[in-house]
Amino acid sequence: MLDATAPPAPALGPPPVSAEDFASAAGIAERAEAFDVVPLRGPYATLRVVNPEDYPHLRMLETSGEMATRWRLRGTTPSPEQWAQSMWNGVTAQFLVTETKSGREIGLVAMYGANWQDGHARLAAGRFDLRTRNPAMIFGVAMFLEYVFGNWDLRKLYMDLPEYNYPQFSSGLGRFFDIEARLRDHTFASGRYWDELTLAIYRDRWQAEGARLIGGAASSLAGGGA
Amino acid sequence: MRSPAGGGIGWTDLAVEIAAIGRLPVERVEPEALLIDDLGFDSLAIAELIVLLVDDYGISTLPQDLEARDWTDVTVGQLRDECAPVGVGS
Repeated sequence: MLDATAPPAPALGPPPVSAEDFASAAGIAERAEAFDVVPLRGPYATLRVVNPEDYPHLRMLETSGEMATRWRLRGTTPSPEQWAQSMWNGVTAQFLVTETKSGREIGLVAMYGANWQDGHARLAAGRFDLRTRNPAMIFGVAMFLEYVFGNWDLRKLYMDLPEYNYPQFSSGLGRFFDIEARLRDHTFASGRYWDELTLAIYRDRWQAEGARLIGGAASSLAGGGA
Repeated sequence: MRSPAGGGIGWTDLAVEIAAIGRLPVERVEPEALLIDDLGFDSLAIAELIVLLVDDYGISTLPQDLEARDWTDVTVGQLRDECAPVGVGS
């Protein structure tokens, strides 16, 4: 027997759009305008991706001079293949930091070891010329922090470093970062043991305090993004 | 923007700002003091100072290559001279 209450066959064509739908659509458009592209180019520093052509030069920088012992390789000289692989172990994002005007490469920044469940990751920042107090690297790191916090919902970033690398930015303690762990006599270098520090950069504090470092860089952008 | 029209920063304001960034007593900020060796500025503090001078005070008289200059020998007095309001002697 036919069911006289069966629904009518669906009408062809798009469903009718209500006034509420229009309003909602307008809200979406407004919200979409708030989408900020994190700049990778500021007046002093620029971030650019690492390309295979950079490898020989970067490997040379990392395995010679002070950086060879003060940064991640700590005196070892991995093969070119091992070195290239180690560059990307656990890395989510990595950039070369260059001086905007000269294009000179001044350092590397990377986010690695991301723990998405708990909302934290690790930050690495290495300056090629360790003796200089040149602030361009700081602007590069600041842009990278904006990039990381803008692209991933992380609560905080940890930065592990031996205490002999700490004085380069110790003035930021309590303003941009905290020291959350200290391992006594953890690292052997230069003939003795050193403490290992774990700094923590919190998203909310960075956005409140650190944003001014990137704010200046972004507000006076010349030439747009990277 | 905190600067007067035309940009620039006076000695008192500069000393106060440097003392705040360096977390120092303002009395220690003397014209002959070296930012790095005498006041203990690291590269992060220098970056903060640059942002403050350029963005907050509108200083446009600083050397162009702020990121590349050698900050080792920069004194507070030198910085004051570079940041003096236009038309105002130091």
